[in-house]
Amino acid sequence: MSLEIDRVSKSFDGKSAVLGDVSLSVEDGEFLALLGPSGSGKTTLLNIISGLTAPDRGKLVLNDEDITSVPAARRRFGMVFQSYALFRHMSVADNIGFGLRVMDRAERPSKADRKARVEELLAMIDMAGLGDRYPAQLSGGQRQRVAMARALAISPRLLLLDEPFSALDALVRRDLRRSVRDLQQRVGVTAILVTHDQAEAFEVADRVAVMRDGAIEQIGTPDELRARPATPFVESFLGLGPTAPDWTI
Amino acid sequence: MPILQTPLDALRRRRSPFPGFGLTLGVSVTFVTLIVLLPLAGLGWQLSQLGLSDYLAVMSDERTLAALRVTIGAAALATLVNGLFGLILAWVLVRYRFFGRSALDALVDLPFALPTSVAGIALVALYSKDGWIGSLIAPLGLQIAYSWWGIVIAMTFTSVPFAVRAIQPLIEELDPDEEAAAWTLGASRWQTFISIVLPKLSPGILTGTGLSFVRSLGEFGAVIFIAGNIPYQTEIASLLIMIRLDEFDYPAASAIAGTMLALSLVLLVLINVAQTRLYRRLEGGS
Amino acid sequence: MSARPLLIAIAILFALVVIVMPVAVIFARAFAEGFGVWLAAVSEPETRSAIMLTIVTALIVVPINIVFGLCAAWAIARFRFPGRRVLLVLIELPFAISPIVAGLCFLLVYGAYGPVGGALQPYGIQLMFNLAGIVLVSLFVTCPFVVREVLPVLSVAGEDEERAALTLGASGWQMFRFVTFPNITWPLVYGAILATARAIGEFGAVSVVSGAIRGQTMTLPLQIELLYNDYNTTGAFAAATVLAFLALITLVLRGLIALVHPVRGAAT
Repeated sequence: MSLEIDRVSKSFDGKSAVLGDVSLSVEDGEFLALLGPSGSGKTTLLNIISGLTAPDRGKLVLNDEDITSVPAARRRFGMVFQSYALFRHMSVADNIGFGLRVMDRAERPSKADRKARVEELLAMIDMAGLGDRYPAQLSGGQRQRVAMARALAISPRLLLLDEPFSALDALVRRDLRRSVRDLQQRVGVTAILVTHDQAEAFEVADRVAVMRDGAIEQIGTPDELRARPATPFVESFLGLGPTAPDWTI
Repeated sequence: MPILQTPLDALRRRRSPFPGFGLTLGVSVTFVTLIVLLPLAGLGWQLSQLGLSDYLAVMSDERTLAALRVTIGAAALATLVNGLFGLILAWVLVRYRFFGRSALDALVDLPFALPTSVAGIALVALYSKDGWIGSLIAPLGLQIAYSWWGIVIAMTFTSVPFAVRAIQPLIEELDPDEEAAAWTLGASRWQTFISIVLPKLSPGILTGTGLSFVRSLGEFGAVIFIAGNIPYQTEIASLLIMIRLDEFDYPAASAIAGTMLALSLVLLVLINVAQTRLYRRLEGGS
Repeated sequence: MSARPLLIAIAILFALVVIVMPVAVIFARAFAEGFGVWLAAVSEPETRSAIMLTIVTALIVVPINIVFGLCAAWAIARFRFPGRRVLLVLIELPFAISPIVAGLCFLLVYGAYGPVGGALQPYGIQLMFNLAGIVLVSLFVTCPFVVREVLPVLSVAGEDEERAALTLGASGWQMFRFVTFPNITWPLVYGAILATARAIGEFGAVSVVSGAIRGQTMTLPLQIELLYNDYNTTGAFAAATVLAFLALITLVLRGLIALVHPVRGAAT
């Protein structure tokens, strides 16, 4: 699925714009990272894509379909939240199967099919046999993987990841970056990742959009950004300047 | 693309992805309007119809004044008793572990759970001349049932949980190290309590006694059985409202009710303001 | 010398005299003449009909209160709108208003001489001095209970979970049923229990609007007063045991819920 974001704007309380006329296109099968410091508007942009926030102006087009006014529940975008937002009172299996369970009767797979699909996803995230556990009994890395599987279960048209590694310690984080990228490739889903960590963005994404103050400062492949930072901000934020700290772990 | 936006959409759409705004707000506003707002407006309307001179005539009536004196006096004494014993109860419940502590903790809520008319007849049975307590004090020439003291007893019973429950959480938050520090500096337990502990509990004591007082002012069911209800002596304001209503004297009933309501609301606002101040001072101090 | 034994003794003595003895005396008096007399007293036709009326009142009031409480908590916790704080204050207000004043307010508006009651009279609809009046004032006195317990829990919990449910395709109802509701079940039950206890036990406000027709508009708390004033003390205490017993059950349930669900709102 390809996504076209056309001049999207958003301000809260009518104050200064959080996003000002942002345009961006994401290609089918691509892994795009929205990279920027806090307050740059990247999370707001992701929420607008997911449908959880309505833009003041602008248009979202998914494969020729205008989805601007389609509610979040009808977009079928899988989302992994920063807090993971696992359903505390449901088992891991029920969490992963939730999206299938709430489908319209006409589309909803049978109970047996749903179970099989959940088992398949559990195996995919290396958690076969742990379906009966509850979120509270899982490690941080396991929770993140369950959130990932839950988002993938609905065969999402887009996969949205909001700072999915920020709550993890450094070692787990490195492992999971790779596994997230692997899963995305295996499923072949178009993915958008929000992060403030340039190493993370460079490692998992095909292209990186650097954001600042509600606008996209530069967009390109990691190699392009490294070779030709367009502005001093990009240069310093990516740590490319002469005295920049080494942010890669 | 034409988007039909109702004013309701404009109110919330931009901020919240959650469904159900129109429905839930509609139900809430309808309910609150019919059940809370309209009745209160009714009282306000009745009072505005009354006119100042009529209002003053009702309120300066000897019987009204006596009822207010009886009510406020008894409520004040009941509040004092609850403040003192509420503090002791709260302290014991938080600081000490002993057999029956959790039962005692649960019992504190009993006056909230017990319907007031049940409490009323129970208190009469207890304090009348042939009751368990009444028979003990009768030989001393003391009488509680059907006297002003009975009113105090009833008010104490119904409002004791306010005091305990408002003070309890603040005792839980006290830092025992501070008390220990005071002892090591040579302060006696009493000095420590007065200078270290009591100031920190003051917001809770204020709220607890304040709520206890407001509740006592309005208490009806528990009081009327034990009060004797003699005009000018043991007749509370709530009962006088009821009597005026039975006489279809709605203006007089409304005047007294409006006064009691205003008094309660002013007190609650004052408690709120004073409490924020106290907290601010405590936080500023530490 | 330690203050501990003295303070514990004072606390227990105070609780015994002020709180326990009144409840004990109810049971003592009610059963003084034996179980048979008690049973006969509570199965008096008038007392029985009072019990029925009280149950019917609670069965109408508590579900309405639950629906209102959930709606108000949802609107206030999940949306920002003008008048939100005013709504909150209005919901809490009934706690600050004494029962007799509350009853009077209803009489002034919904009574035959009030604006609403007067307007309905030509259609033969009467709202005061009958079940409708009792239900209305009971709704008033129980108004804050469910909101009070549910709102704090709803405000701190579950917003992200609800968003997740929406992105996974859940409808509004499915989101509420599967994600929101499980998070607020216990506060809801807790608030409903408090509201039930209050609806069953309310005396002052109900006595203003009930009309006090024997065997018809007497709730159990009113019936107790009636029996007592008739010098039928055994009957009054027998009826009181029913309410006292319910109060004790309320306390036990509260304790149990506090065990399962330690997070709870402010004490009533």
